[in-house]
Amino acid sequence: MSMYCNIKTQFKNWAALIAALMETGNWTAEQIEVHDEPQHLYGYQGDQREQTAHVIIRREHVGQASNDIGFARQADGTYAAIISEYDGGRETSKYGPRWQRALKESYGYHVIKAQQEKRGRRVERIRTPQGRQQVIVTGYR
Amino acid sequence: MSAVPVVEFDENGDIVTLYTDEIDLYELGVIGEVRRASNVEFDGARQEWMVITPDGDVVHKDRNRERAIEWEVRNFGPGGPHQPAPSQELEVPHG
Repeated sequence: MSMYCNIKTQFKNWAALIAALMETGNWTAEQIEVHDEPQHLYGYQGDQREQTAHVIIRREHVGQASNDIGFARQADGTYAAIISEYDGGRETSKYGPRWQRALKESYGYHVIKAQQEKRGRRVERIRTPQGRQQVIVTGYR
Repeated sequence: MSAVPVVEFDENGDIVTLYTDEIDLYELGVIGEVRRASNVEFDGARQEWMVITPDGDVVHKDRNRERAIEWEVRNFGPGGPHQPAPSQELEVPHG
């Protein structure tokens, strides 16, 4: 029996999250800070924010007049995005809903790729005419 | 070895797929409601495996069970002709 399921994408695997950030934000690995203990985020004027995060892209790599972008590890192990209103609050923002969707797509691809390549399988992604990303696993025989 | 279904991302970056143990879906996020897509049953009279929709329609037959399941995964998963229309897709509770 086959079952349909919907999954609300959550960032759980930090390595896949970083791969997705590098891909969708064009950041290098050196520009993405990863901390065991959460560190403070800073605003565009260099002001320390109350918010803390474990994965951080500092504002100088985000854009002019931008704030730090962070991902804070939650008690359940998921990483919650911290993106300022200025950088991500509007549809047209560089790191707004469109980018956040692309980040989730890229994250999902990298999670599946890492899992499946360990098993000797190949993973590719395509874009449907409706604009949806599909991840396809082959080589499972 | 089981066929691996296509994993599709919707307009919010969330995922629609057929449930599978071949991919660790739990690493992708939180799984919402799960709903039956189809069934593979043996037809003793015809001596073949049938792929049956939730409405009871037989949409495929094969003597080989593994091939029948592969057909089921290919045709009922994202991009397949038996995939439900978007309006029929399940809503995952957000928040």
